[in-house]
Amino acid sequence: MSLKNLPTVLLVEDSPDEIDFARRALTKSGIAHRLVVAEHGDRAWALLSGEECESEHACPLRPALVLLDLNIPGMSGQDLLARIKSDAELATIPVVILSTSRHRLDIESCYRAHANSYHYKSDDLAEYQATARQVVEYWLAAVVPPIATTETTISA
Amino acid sequence: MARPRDESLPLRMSERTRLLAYSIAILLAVAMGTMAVTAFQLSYAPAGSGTVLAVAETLLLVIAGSTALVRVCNPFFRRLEDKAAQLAKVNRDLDDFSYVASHDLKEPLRGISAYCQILLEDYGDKLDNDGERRLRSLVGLCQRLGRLIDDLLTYSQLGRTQPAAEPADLHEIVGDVIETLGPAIDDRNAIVRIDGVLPVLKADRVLAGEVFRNLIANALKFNDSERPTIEVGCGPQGAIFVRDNGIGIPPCHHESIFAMFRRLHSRRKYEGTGAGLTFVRKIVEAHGGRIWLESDLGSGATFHFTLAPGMPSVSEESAHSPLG
Repeated sequence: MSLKNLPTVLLVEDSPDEIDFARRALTKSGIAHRLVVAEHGDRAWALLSGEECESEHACPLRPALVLLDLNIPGMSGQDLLARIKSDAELATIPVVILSTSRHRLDIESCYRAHANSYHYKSDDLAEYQATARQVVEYWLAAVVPPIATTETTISA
Repeated sequence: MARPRDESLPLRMSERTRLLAYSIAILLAVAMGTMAVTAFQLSYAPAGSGTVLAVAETLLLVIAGSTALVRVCNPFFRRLEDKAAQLAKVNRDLDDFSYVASHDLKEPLRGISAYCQILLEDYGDKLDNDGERRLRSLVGLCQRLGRLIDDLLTYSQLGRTQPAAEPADLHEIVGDVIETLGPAIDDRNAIVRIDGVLPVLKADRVLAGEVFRNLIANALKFNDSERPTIEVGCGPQGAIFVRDNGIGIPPCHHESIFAMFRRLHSRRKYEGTGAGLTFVRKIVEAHGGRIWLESDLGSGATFHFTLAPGMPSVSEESAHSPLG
């Protein structure tokens, strides 16, 4: 399978360390995927809306999964979530929140904005890896994905 | 952080202060007026002169007296209110500061901890025993610092939001807490029971649950007896109590145990950060209630608390329908 036909995971995260940890955890999960990183909310939105393209990516980008950190510069994670979920075309893309906040208001407001699931970023690396594995196993392997994200799989 | 803050608590306080001050002023004025009129009548008024005149004089004097007093005292009340408002603002700013600070501290700490664990996982074979042991200590220290920061976050968060005022069925809440503490209770071969029926109060359900969870968990933890026994109930005055047969607390520590990160024992003997009772008191006070304890070394402890200014009324207590 060529790189193009792999399901894409869009990681929205600004911290280079967190990107490193996420990349490592996703690789360790053993689920084949292609990782695209957006360092801030505006960049993620530009890729999804087609304002910006990267030569190797389908344009506009239609990821099989968005991994979203709430605490990002520019457009906040909450705002990006709301924009994706209120866009007729993008709304079906699974958006999974990864956050260091355990505050009930943060959790509730994400679910109210139709986040597909909310996960606490554990300080324990093994726990964090287990969470990442569960998320990608579920969204990239277990579920029947929404039509909008199956394009690449059908053409495979 | 631009989260909206609740302004009603300090306002309520200053209103209460003002009401109290005005009532004292008016009482004083009435007393002075009456005294003045009596003195006037005794010295000047000819016997049998018009009663109407005397009453009018009294009234006039009382009104003039109280107006003057209120005017004289007003700047003082205002200063008092200003001070109270300033104090409330400083407290809120402090909570805001610790919230932002602890949030920002958490991120680099998470990074340090994760890199240590990556070193152990990916480069473990390149480390000798000493190197590995020290790296593990570093991970442990990161975890401890993480817990302290989490507690600071929780504490500041408690000061930034007003508790919900919803019907809270304490009986049900304690039942849930006992269920979630099940493994710890079984582990200690303990008995936790509710004495009678607990009332339904206007309180924040989640926060009320936190109060019980902390108090019951403490009662289990600081307990060396073969069969730890914990009783939760409602006293005749309406205060809730949590009673245990644990190691007890000497009276000289009855106040200091509520201080943040205050611990009476070594971490090795009883683990924890020492923030639980601080949360409990902050929650209780945010509801307008108070908490106190009866205890002595070796004779168990009973924590009493209320979740509202004054005591729960009889009607609130009888509104409870016992669980089926």
